[in-house]
Amino acid sequence: MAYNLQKLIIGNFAHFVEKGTVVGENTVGSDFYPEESADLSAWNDMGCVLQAVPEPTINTTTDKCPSPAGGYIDEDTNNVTKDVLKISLKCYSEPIWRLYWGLSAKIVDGTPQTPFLSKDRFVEGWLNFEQRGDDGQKRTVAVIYGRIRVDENPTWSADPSRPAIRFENIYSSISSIEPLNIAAA
Amino acid sequence: MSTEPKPKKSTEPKPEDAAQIIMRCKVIKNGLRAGGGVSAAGKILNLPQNIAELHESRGEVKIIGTK
Repeated sequence: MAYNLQKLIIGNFAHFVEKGTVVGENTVGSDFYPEESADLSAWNDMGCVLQAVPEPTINTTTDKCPSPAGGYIDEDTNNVTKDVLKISLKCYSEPIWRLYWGLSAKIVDGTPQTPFLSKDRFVEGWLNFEQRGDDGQKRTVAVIYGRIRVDENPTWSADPSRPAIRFENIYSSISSIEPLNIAAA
Repeated sequence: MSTEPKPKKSTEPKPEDAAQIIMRCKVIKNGLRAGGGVSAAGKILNLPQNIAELHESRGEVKIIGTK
């Protein structure tokens, strides 16, 4: 007997819907997100995801515990205090521009705003994050609530600028991840 | 030339044109799929009357009034 062993190249697909978005008669928040129709039409496609890296913040405390073999051993206790998904994107989009320029309101083309007004720069909402293997099969479909922040400051030069963001998870009772084609042999 | 008066057009809205009553509902079932989305328990959700009554009959929401 063996696990369902798979050598995979994982591709990621990200869609986002911001807190405050109106869906029919209801407003998106930590307690409500648009239904994931097949085409995710109520969600904004974030474009090509070049790379995604999960990066939890872990606080470790170490205790000296007696060993049956004699002496003491270090016993670690981990406490994850934050879960972050670092995402590199190919394309710019409205929330990215808003974060880079510290804008406090959603961008409307042709409507000026005060730059760098926002001090705690984030865009809050739901991330629909789908992972597929190189066989084209889905592996996970996650719908998670949190905040997008800038991960790396951009360099605007002759080279293409690839936005790097971090998605910080915020607990919601309706956040979910659906695993597919993982456990079955 | 006919002097017969033309029949008056009805000013009553057709059933499909009538404004739909929207009910305010408290979600009881966590993860309820209704109103175009997924809701957490405790969320106040606005639903059309027929949908609200359907979910209330299933014990998934409690209607608390109209919008």
